[in-house]
Amino acid sequence: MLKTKNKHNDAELVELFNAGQKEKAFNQIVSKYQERLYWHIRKIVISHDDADDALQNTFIKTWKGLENFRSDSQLFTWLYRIATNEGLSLLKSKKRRTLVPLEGDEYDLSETLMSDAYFCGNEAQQKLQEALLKLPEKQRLVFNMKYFEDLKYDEIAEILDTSIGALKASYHHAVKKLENLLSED
Amino acid sequence: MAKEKDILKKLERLKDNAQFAVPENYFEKLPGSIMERIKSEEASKQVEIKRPVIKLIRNQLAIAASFAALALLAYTAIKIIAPDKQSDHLPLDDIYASLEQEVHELDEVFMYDLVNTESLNNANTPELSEQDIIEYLMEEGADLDLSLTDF
Repeated sequence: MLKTKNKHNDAELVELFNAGQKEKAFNQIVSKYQERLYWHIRKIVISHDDADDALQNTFIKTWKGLENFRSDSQLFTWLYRIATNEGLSLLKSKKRRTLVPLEGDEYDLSETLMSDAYFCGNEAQQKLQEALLKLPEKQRLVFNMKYFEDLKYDEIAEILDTSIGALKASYHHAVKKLENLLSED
Repeated sequence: MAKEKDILKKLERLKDNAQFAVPENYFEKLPGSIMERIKSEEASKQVEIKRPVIKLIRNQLAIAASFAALALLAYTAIKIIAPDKQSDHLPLDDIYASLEQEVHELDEVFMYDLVNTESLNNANTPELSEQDIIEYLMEEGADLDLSLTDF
């Protein structure tokens, strides 16, 4: 039955992968999640090239780790966790390489935003995006996942391995900070 | 609260990600690019598996080479700093053993060679007749048959 179906649910895809049809199952997983994960990473790292790197690394790690994946957790939560780690690691390594110690991280990402050939927002979108980049990293991550990606608190808690209470606090602080930042204009 | 709603409404403009673009056909090509990278990584892993012995002893080889280089450096340094002092360090026992061996090797043939050398023939020694020599040798109990036939 597994072999004849074109679309499988996550559990079936994992089963198919472990049954030996690795490439077929993996390609379906990539096709199913690539866009969601791409936008999740893109909001973390901002530039397309960095997002592409982190996304490819995410799927390569998925290929290597799928054999040991425990089906008691959701595949999509696991993928999101890998993607988040890849995005944050890439950002960290970029910050370490930055040779402008007096400038903040926000400046870095704003610069990245403006120099990215694939940013095509208008002035208003640019201002909103820059305000988001001024949030502390964790608050920005939580805000993006809750507000833009419509993830539930319990899903975010599983992905980020943190408590729902801490997430609600982070989201609340992020909204308050955005209020202040955007009312300044 | 109204302010918060206003801010979140403003941010709705970013919800569709329209401010970000991606290269043409990016998502269509992505699965192929990822599979290509996976296959190339697995191929290079295969090559590494074929050379595990070299990989395993690479560190030991490096250490051995370092020791050899250090020993060569030390030897060269001693040669340069004290070229003549090396014989001073020969143990006395070795010197005695060597001398003893040389003394035992002083046989008739060696003595004959010594007597026959040109330098000794020309040496300023008192004139001795054959008779004098024979008498001396008889006194010393030497093997006359061998000595006389060779003369």
